[in-house]
Amino acid sequence: MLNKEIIDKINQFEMDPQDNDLFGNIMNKRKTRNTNTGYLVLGSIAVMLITISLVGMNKFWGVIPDGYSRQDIEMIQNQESKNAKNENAVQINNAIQTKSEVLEINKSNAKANNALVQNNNTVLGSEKVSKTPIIIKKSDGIVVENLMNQKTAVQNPITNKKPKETLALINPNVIEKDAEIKSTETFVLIDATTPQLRKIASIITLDIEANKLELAKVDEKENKTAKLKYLPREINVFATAMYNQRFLNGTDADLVSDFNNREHINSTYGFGFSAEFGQIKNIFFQAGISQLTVKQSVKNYTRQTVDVRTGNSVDPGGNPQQIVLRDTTYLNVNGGNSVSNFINIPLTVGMRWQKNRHIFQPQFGVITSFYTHTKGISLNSNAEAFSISKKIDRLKTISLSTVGGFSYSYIFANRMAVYINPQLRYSLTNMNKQNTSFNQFNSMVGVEFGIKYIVK
Amino acid sequence: MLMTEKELVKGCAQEKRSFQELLYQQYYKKMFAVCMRYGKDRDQALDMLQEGFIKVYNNINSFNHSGSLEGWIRRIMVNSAINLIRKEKPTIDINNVYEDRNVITKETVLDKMSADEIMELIQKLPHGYKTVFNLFAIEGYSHKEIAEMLDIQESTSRTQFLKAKTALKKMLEELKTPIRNVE
Repeated sequence: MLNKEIIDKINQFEMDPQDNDLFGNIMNKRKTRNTNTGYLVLGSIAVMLITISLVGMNKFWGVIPDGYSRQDIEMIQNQESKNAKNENAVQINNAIQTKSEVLEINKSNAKANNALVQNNNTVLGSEKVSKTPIIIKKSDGIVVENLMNQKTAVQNPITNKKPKETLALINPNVIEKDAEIKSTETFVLIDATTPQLRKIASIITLDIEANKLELAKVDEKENKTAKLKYLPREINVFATAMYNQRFLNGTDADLVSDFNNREHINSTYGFGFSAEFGQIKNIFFQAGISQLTVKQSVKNYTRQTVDVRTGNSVDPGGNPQQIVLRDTTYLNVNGGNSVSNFINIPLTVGMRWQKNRHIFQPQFGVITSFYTHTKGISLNSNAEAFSISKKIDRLKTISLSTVGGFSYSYIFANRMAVYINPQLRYSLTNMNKQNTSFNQFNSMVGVEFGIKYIVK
Repeated sequence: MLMTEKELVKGCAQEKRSFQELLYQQYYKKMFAVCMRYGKDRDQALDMLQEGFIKVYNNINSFNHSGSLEGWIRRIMVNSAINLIRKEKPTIDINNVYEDRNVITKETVLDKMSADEIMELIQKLPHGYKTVFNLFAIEGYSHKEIAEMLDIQESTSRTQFLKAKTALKKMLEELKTPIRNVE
């Protein structure tokens, strides 16, 4: 081991790397790394939200909006093929057809003089229905009229659980409204848009023992669906264009005036995505992440400097005296453009109404803005132009603003909609740091437009 | 204006660039010397110095004034250097174990040498030996700690140190005139 004197000698030794830019390089490298880390964190949040959304989409992909998935229908089809050998055959078809086509099928079934229980699944907001006809022959001896006035709570043969609500086995309104079939004896339609009534239809027509497995699977799926209720119900991908107005106020009127005269916001735009969660009746919550770019320009201006000095003079009486001299010089300063970037995380609450293909959603909430950086020519705290490629010192990293808007969406395809959301934003907190001599609040009016995917 | 260490740390924690620059100006030469002892060349030492200062600025909030600021920064620099060395996967030769434990560095000779000369000697040590020698002989880490830091066997650390001492002895012998006079 070396003795202490030598160690001290080594530890106190100094070497000059002879690199004048080293400190600047260290700070730049640090800033880049920290910014990258920030982006990484935000990116991770975004990936997490997308993953959650995709999982949600995957769970509901291919689900007919009344709650039955293609998997369910395939399962029932398999059951159909098993029962096809029996006289009490169950005919199930999972094709989605128009209402008129279903009515045609109903009529042809009527001609066949079979007693028919028609499971009619009406698709909300579209002209299509999914037909899953279940046919009962006269020989089955089911008296349908008796069912029309009965209320039932059909017990699950596997779990022995009873449904929460008691439902009519037959809904006569559906017969008249959808099927337009008049019959006192043979034709009825069951409104099987709810899972409970699907079960009833299934239990009426199929052998209970044969359906145990299917019922258990349906129950399992419903349980899973209940667990997934916190997944997003809608995903939006959007772009934003805003008119951005900056309001400055402070005790130094000249400084505020210089700012207002020298720097202007040219454009404000962004993009991002959001997801709607947990609709309770008509109320929903929306969260998302977006990037907002603010382009500003500094005009060319003239800077006036006054050099004050003292001089000697002689008064008319011939006595020497000191006088104050002011030399005013004017310097032309070139302006330029700058781009500032923000990461916004909006959190809003709203109400949702849907009429056929039209969705209306007034909403309001709070946006948390993370200021990332500015690049170009901007103004410093003294309203002087300077070149910058990092954060402007006077601006806070985090600021809050309120947002309100009214979104209109048009469903143009199954689960897909385009939407436009005129909105108003206003700063809730001062965007400048406390040690700045003036406050800054921004007001924005603009539109958000994009594509909406309706998950469930 | 005279500034206390606490004020300097506080200013850096508040991300005030002038304070950060002051801290840099105060320690960069010493820390560069530390990095030069570990780095295989000037470029690597500069990388170590940059990484070290980034960590210092990022973690200055955690400095609790229980020890000296210089010591704290030095430890960060050493750790940064070790991290860089580990990333490079240095080839520490464990096959060629040097068994002669009687080899002793002529510390008396070192005593008479200037810091410049000692630094020059250390820098001339082969890269693998240099790390262990620095950590053990100068920073005061135990072989067990060094083994953990470098992810090597404790015996390897001991061997590397012995090799470093042997190499130092050889170098001292090569510096004929002044050293012979002293001896």
